[in-house]
Amino acid sequence: MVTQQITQKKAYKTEKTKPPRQLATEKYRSMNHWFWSGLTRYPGLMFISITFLIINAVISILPGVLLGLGIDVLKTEGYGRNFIIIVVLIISAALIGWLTSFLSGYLWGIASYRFERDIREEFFDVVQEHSMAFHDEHDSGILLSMAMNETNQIRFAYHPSIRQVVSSFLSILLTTSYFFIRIPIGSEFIGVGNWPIGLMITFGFSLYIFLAWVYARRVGPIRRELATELGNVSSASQETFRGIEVVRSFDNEKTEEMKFTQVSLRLADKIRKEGYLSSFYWPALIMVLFTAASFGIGLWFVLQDNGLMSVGQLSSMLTLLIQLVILNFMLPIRLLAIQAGRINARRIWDVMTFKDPLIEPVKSKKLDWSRPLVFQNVSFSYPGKEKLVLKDVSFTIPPGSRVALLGGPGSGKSTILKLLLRLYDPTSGAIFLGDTNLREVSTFDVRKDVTLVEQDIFLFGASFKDNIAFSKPEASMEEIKTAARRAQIDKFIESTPKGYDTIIGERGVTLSGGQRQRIAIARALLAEPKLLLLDDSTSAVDIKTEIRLRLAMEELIKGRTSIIVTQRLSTLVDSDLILFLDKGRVIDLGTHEELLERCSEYQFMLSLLPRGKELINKKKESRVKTPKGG
Amino acid sequence: MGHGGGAGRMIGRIADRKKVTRPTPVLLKALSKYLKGFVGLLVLAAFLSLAYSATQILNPIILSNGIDAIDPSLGKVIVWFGVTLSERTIIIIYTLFYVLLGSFGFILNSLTTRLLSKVRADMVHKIRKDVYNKLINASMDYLKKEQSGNITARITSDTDEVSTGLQVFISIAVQLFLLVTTLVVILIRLPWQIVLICLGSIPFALLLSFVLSTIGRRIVLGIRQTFGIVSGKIAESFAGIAVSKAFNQEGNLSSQMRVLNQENYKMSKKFGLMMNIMMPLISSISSIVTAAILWMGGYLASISIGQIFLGTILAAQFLRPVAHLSLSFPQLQTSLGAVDRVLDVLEASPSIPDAPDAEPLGNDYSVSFEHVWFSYDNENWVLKDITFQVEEGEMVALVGETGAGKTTLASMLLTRFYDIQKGSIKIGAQDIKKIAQKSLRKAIGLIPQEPYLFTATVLENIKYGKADATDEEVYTICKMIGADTFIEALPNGYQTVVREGGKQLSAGQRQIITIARTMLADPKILILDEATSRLDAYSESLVQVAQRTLFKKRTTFVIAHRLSTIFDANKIIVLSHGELVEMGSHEELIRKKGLYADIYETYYKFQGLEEIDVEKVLEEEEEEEVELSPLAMMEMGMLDPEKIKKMVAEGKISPAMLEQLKKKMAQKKAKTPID
Repeated sequence: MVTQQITQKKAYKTEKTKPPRQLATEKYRSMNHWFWSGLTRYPGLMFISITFLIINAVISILPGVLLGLGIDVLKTEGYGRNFIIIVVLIISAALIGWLTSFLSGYLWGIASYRFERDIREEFFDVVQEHSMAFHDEHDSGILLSMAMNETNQIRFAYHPSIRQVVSSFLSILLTTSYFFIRIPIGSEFIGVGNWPIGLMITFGFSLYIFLAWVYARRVGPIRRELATELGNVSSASQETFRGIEVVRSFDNEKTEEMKFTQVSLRLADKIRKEGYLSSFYWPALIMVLFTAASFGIGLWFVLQDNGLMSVGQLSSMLTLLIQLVILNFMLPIRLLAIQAGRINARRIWDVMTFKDPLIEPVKSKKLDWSRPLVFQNVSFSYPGKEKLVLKDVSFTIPPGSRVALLGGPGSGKSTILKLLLRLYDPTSGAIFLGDTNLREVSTFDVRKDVTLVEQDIFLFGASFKDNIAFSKPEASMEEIKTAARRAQIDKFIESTPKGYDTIIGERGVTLSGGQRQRIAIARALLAEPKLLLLDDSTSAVDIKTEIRLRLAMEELIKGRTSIIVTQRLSTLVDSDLILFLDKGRVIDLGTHEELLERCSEYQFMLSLLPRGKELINKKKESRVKTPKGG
Repeated sequence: MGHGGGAGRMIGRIADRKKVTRPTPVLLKALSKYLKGFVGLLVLAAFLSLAYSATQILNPIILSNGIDAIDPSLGKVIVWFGVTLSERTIIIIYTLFYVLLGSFGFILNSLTTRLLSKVRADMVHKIRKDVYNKLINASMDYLKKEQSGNITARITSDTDEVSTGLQVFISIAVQLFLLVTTLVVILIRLPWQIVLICLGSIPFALLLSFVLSTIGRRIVLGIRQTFGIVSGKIAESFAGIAVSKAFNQEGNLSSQMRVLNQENYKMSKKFGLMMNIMMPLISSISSIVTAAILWMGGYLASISIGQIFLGTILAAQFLRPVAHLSLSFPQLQTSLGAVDRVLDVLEASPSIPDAPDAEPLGNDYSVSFEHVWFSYDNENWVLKDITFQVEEGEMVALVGETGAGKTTLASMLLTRFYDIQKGSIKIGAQDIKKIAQKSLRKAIGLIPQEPYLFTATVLENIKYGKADATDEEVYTICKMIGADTFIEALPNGYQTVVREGGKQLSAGQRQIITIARTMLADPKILILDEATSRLDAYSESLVQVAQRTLFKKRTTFVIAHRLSTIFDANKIIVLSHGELVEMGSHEELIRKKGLYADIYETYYKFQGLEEIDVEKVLEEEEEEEVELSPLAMMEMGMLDPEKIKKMVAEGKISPAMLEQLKKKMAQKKAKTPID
């Protein structure tokens, strides 16, 4: 019964399918839909925040209005109860203003920080989902910067920028309406209630906003150019100093100096230009002009003494206008930030909606690994490029065989491995397993059965346990240990300070090339692949490591189809088939013995080795003796 | 000034505060050297800003006077040049005056921004160029100790910070002026009670800046830390994307990233809480001050309406410089820190200069080491009493365990990146200390183990050693060493841009490109540190054949990892712990059955077709050594300064690691007394 349970459990595990997850690119229609979704993702927070924002806008103009009322009361009634009430009201307005401003800002902030968090995750998920075609042509540094800095910029467009712009508009709107309304309070009035002034102010503010917008539009591009140039200066110096030995040994210091001076000059030029463009902020002058106009007209009205305007109202009016200047001096920066946020959103959206050449089948077909693996007239060029890396490649690999892949740099070896992992699809021709075209199987299902141990072994800065179990996160400790033992790395792991919990890398243990490779083998063992791809070109090792590696690899190859790129001659000799590639074409396919006999490139390779000539000669001799070959 | 700023950025800059090692006068003096060319402009800018602040003070006074001028209860009659002005004229005059002054202020302010941006652009460029030129000519010793990221920060952000500091300095001067004049105006024009109310707002401004520079700084550091962690996770995931894809683990990494991202969000939320409590306080306090002034005005009864108005406006204006100033001083400190670091660079020791009697290298390219002793830190000898002679055109293989001193001997000393302490190195009959370095470097070609490629096309990378080479020459070289096939197979052939140090190329391909680069420069003496990540069998045989043609007629030093290389060598030098223990041909040394024979058995033999006796080797199996990273050693208390020094000398601690260790140590020290 116990056994049954275990098999059941196992069956459940192997039946794993791809977890359904809706990507942002599926959820949102367009960049604008995505960018503005920040307003609707947390509707509760946003609604309350906006409510308080409106309350706050009204309350924050009260002190200015009440000041004028106070002055008028003082003038007509003198220092008394009403006057004191007004003073107390101003103080209350200040306190309530602080509270509403806090609530509105904080809630908005929370919603925006959440938005930033969400879009960063969305971006990360989408980019991870993109095929290797995408990752090959995109600089990972730029992707990282998008994930971190540009999402940050988008958040900055929301918090504080959009909120402050809305707040600025509201205060402008309210200040303008102060010039239109006239509400009696006792014997006094609140508001100017003068249409001509009101219209003038409305016109003035419209001009103000328009000019602020023009300013932001003009300065925005140059700021971005500035950022690009700064990036250039930074990467120029990174480059040189990382490769300082190369620079020195070719005596190229002067050339590099000259190159850098040019880059630096270009940046200086942009700094100057930016300064020139942004120095004259014309809306500020508009503000001066209509404060002056209101001042003059106000004085005139007060002087008429026909009740059109009191001294208090004049003071209120001026206070409100001056207050607006103070409140809005950040307006252009905020407008710029929103603009920048949208540009960043556009860039990110374009990356997220990358048109993937790899198309997943609607329904994934089953793979039957007891059938032969067939390359049928496969040609391949990297997406967007014309040059063929594989040219009309055809071969058949019987199930369970060990295949060694041989060929010079650029012969197409690694491309064959990538195609088998379905990191790419053939440009023409097809790869079959039995009758099943690999295109008809989802990448998830292909990779479930195919495992690659790559040349530059990538391990995560995590524990031994996590690194080995990376291929199977639900693996038990027992399974992990078994894999480690089979990969000949168990004793080593146990001798480290924290055993399987010891961290690999900068914060823990430093590994040699041979050790890294054995960890990768343990990781691959745990994946229990049907087809193993091994790019075996390790760093120089000593004989003990070599033997451990050979044993580990033997464990890994045992009982499955394997395709191995190797520098190990012993592997070549031991393999069932050797596939020899040159410039993207198959030049031979056969056993070691067969190649030794008929393939001149193979003979050439062996002849360079000590005892290699002997081997070839021996072969020739044996051929003389038994003409049909062994 | 300008329209930049934002409290968040200010706190960010304060958070960068680092200890300054030089006294302020020294820093200011150094800075003044760079100001020389800009004194005129700076004085002008400062003068314009002061004039601008004056208009800012005058504006409210005009408004206030205007209000009072039309107040019949004050009964003032204004007489200008003997003419009594009508009220209507007064209004016109005041309004015009306000417009003129306002526009004038606007022009002054804009001009200042413009002037300063010119100064900033030119000055930053000047400093940047100096720093860069200094660094590129600095001693290898200095450059190796600094990580390239740090060096870039010196060139980019620190130089920028210096000029920002200058702006902050001017702004402080202006704000102080504004503050003092406002005070004076208030003192002259308003009763002392209102002065008191204004002064009463100072503590609030100080509180504000105190909170921002303490709690705010801590939160910003926290945000940076969590931000860095998320960033590290994403960087790692992108770097390992092929692995996660191969094992279908994208979702797993996603959820790991989510956890870290949530931490960053929580920190940001704290920042939002603090900012939203503190920032609205400014306008609330200024409203309260308004109320207090209004009340005082009513209570005193002797104050005119114009004065009340003036009081409220000035009070609002008063609060800003106080808040600004209290944040500016720590900012200035940050900038001085940057000046300090820039000075570090400018005072760094330059690379080894040519001897006054230095001569160009002659035509004899034999190399001899005579009793050479060398150490990176004058304490731990990396090479001890090395003596050997290599004839022109010979190929020497250097063999020995990691840390034996092979790389130091070939790549660092012969190129004269470092000078030896004792003994002499000669090329032909010339001591390398007496050879003009330009001619030395021209004669020597270095192919380091870690191939370094620049972000440029493959063609440009190969031409790096010989800028005037024709494309044809490049093609010929590449054909010769068998690089043409794979380069032509690259997406854009020779025009393919190498990105991120060559991530689209295999280690072997990168190595072959660097070989092509060196060969194009046609050096007479060649130093090759073989890449440890080996090529596959066939590629290796191709490279091997290419190398045979290349090494011909050149004096060649190879730090050998390949079996084929030691077979080809004329002479093998065996190093152990900095000493030369054996020297001779392969056959001679094998016969000797000494260290070389051992090394051959363990490292090289099995690379060929030799069978290995698995049983025999496994019998004598021993434990593999566990090598902890320096950081882990430190956490376990296994490191002391002595040990670190030793490891740095042995090359076991990289500059980047050293930086981290120092940081960790400083943190530990800071913690201990509290604990």
